[in-house]
Amino acid sequence: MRALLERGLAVLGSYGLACLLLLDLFLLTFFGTLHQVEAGLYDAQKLYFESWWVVQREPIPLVLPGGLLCMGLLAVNLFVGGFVRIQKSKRTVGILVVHVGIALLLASGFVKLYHSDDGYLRLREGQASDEYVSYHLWEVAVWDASQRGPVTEHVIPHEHLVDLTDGKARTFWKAGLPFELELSGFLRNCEALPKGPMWQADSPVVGDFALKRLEDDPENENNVAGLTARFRALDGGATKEDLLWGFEFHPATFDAGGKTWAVSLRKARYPMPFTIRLEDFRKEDHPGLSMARSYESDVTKLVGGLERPIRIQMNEPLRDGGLVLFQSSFAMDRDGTEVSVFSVVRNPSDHWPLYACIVIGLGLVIAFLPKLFKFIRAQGPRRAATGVS
Amino acid sequence: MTPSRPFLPALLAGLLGACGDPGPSLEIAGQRTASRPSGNVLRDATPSQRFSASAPSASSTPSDDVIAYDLPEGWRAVAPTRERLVNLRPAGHPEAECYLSFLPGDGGGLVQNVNRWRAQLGAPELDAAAVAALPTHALLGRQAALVEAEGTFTGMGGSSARAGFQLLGLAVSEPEGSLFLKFTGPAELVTAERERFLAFAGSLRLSAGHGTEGEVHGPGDGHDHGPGAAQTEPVADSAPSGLRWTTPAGWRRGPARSMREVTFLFEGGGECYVTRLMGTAGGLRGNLDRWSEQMGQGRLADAAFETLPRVDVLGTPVPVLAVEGSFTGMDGRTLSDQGLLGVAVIRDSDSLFVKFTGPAALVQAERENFLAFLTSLEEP
Repeated sequence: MRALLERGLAVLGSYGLACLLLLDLFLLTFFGTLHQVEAGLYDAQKLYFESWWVVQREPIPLVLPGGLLCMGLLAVNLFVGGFVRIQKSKRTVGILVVHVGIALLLASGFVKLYHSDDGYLRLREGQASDEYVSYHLWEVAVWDASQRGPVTEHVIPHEHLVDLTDGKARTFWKAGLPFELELSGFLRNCEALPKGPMWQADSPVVGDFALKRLEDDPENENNVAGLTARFRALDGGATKEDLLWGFEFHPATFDAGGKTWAVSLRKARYPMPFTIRLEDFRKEDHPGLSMARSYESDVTKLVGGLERPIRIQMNEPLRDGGLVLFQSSFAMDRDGTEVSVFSVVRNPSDHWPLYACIVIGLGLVIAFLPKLFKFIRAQGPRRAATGVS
Repeated sequence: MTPSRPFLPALLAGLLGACGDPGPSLEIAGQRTASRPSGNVLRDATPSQRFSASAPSASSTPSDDVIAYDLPEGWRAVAPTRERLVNLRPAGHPEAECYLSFLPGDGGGLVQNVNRWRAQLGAPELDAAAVAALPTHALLGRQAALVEAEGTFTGMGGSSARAGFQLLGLAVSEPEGSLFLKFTGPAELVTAERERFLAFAGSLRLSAGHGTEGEVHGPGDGHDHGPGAAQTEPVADSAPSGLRWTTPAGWRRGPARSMREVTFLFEGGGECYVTRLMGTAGGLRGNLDRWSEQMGQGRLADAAFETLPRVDVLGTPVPVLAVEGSFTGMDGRTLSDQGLLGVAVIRDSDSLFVKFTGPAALVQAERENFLAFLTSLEEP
């Protein structure tokens, strides 16, 4: 048993496994890049780098460990080979430190994958917001429509919606909610249209409208999702079928328990620990062109009754409260009001790669500096023997 | 607000991600408190109201009533949107669109717009001489350039490329306004419907009471652009959001506009409109200062702000800003002898802005009507 365990550890910590995993990473990067050209960045990332297995049919039929499995095994390989089985002596201190740095790098990727959000904040001049919106993820929000001011929302996340395809339905409930909500028929990209005789609806027809499936857009943020919703009051009373669409102007409503409830399919929203108000947006064009040379936003950060003026410009983001707000683009509403768009990233491991690089650099110095000194020392007698001064 | 995701559950979720079907019944675990409601709730809204930008409400007249036309056989009218004054689905085909839009000003010029359309189908650009030589066809009393292109259609956003598409378009670009009638769809369909399209274009006309046929009007030119005729006496009216008011005598409701609850247009270039924004939208003082600056008067002094007269709007006493000066619009153009009346109802959930701008004499003359309009505002 012990021999088997040792044999297993030997394989897990071997250079051979490390080489195979690095080859897998190379293939994932190569085929992932090819896939990205056709399917877009989001799909390629999900399929090749955030998956356990990759089953690829084109351009070459292939089954590969996905990025998640590969990185996980690489972490195990590093731990077993670089910490457990490595000969521990003064000579290997530097190598151990390098391995700590690589482990930190892998950990930062893992934390980013499971513990970070990104999205955007779009503000008209004079407008303020304390939340940002996901580029890619959808959510269904349910709230009592009579609430004014702060609103308590019940939120069904993206991962509980996207698998509701091919006739699959899921019923959502919550203690205190006087109705059940059955969701089905998730469409990744669709349009709500008046139903005509010339096209096949991809959802039930509700009040002359239905959802029509559209081809997926490789730029995933352009896709507009849709769902079919069925409401059932828990008192055995009313039922209602309705459509939810990511571009809807008003949420669906359902009367139950003496209240009107609103249900909306929307891009996932994330709160910020402060409010940002756009005071002024400025853009400077290249001479003679309508191409922006630089643009910047004067914003006010409001938190706890305090106001702080801040300028956000290209390459000078606002870092606060675990968030980074980058000036990413701008627009102009039809009424001529300038609109500034910020990319917002919340990544607890934002700086870990920097720390990892420092640790790796330190490890390399510890590992190789003695060798350099030894080499220099060896050069002295050799030069003396050959008469070179 | 959003429940934070603990690291350990996230780790386990990651490791077990491959086998994570949550089943057919699930409790909603996520809960958060948002500072304002998500979207405007319109109780028992119809699908048309929920899914169309400017779906007509029972009390507002749709854009189709401003512009009359003969609907080609087999074509369907769909709800007009903010940009589409007339919105049709040729032959009821789900991939075909035909719509009329209007832009104030020259919209970038005829050559640029013709080439923008052609680029959407991958067709090569035309130079000014080639654009000038395009055949023409009647469109609302103008001779519009007839644009034709065929290829892979990438649409406005450059997304969802569709091969084998054709575009038929009519474009008028003049300093006082631009008109665009655009028909896109599968090439076979567009070819088959070409004559119907041209007949439809020729049939477009302003409805009775909406100006002289053949004139193209833009904001600020003193013409009526809206679906409503001037009221001879105060009339109750409302917006799709449920906001209600009494329209003063002599006021004329304009067409639906982006971000606005309602717009009123006046002879001589004045307009009054109601805007609703989420949240506090810059606050009371910030907005009044901004409006004052737009009139070239700089920010309000504290004493001036404190002494502004107040009026009850939606149950809240709010200061009424009245300022005169030179109005500088977003396009940088400055108009002298202008007046502005404005109020801002600031709330945590949403804020309402009512602003009247125009020649100073007009704004002064309409001041009492403006105040009466403010006090008549009601919410559901």
